[in-house]
Formats: sequence, structure tokens, C-alpha cells
Amino acid sequence: MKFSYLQIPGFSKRPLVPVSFRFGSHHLSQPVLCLVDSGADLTYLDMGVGEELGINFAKIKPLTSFSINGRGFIGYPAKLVAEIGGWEFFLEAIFSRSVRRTFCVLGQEGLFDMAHISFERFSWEVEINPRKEIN
Amino acid sequence: MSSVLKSVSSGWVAISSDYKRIVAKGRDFRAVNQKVSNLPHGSVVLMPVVKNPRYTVTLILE
Repeated sequence: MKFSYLQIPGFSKRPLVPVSFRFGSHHLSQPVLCLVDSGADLTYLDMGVGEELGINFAKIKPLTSFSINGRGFIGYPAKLVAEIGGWEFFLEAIFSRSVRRTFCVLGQEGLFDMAHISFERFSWEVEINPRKEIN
Repeated sequence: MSSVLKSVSSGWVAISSDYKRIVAKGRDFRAVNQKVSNLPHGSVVLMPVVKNPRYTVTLILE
């Protein structure tokens, strides 16, 4: 499915796509707009998203991630289902308070293994389709 | 969508699925999610209000 790049104040157009998240029997009532980010190793989400999904972070061992400037931050990994354009992907996401002031991001590990992702910035479109050979 | 978001400076917002208007806003994800929980799924999308940096960062797992 193709998505148009979106522009928000202060930014150039970005590949932002609506994602519906589910964790076990819990699902969010509305999709979250996420940045498709080939520069991120993993998927990173606001801690509040995980709390609304009913994830018990007290039982999860935290890990450290680093931004490109070398600054570390703490996050909690959890596996969940992300529905994008009608397709479901089983991903591991890192939930962190540090994601609060930026986009939620869909990173390489997981989604980029399971989907064909084509950035067509020249036409302001990103296309995401599941790999038929593994799905 | 750019013009729609100029009126908000922080927190989270729910934007109509055509990205033309803000339906709800809140201090954090939970606040805005609860405000739109009764709307049909997909009628809005939720996003944080991101300000200032023109370029976003790459994230690396340890």
C-alpha cells in the first residue's frame, strides 16, 4: 500500500504512516502516526502507547539505546502486532519515555525484514507491502 | 497537515484521517487517546506534537 509523505510544521515532508497496534487482546482505539525510519535499528514507541496497550513494564528488563549523538536512553522491549495498510506485522518495539518529544518510529529490525518498503521521495510516496515469500 | 498543527505546541493530538483538522489534544498519549476512544477506528490518527528540530535522529540498539 502506498502512503503519501506528510508535512508537519518545521519539518520537511516525512514518510509518516498510520499504524494500529495490538498487544495480546488489547488494542488501541485509534492508529498512531509513525515515521518509517530506515536509520532506526528497532521500532520505538512512546511509553504511554504501551501503557494504554496494557503492557506491564515492571516485569520487563530495560535496555539501553543510543541516538546518533551517542546519548543513551532507557527503553522496555515488548512484542506486539502492528497493522499497516491492512497488513499485520509481528514486531518487537522499544517503549521509552524518551520518545515523548519525537515521532514514534518503525525501524529496521522486524518490519524491514517482513515487508518490501520502497521510499519514493521523488514522488513523496512510501510503499509498504508484506513479503509474499514469507507471509 | 502543516498548517493544522501550527496552533499546538506540545503534547499529543488526534487529527482527522484526512489530516485537515485537530479533533482532540492532550498533555500525553493517554489523555488524547481516551478523548477519541469512542470514535470509529481510523477516523482519526494520533501523533505527538514535534517541534523545533528540522531533522530527526537515528536510533541504535546497544
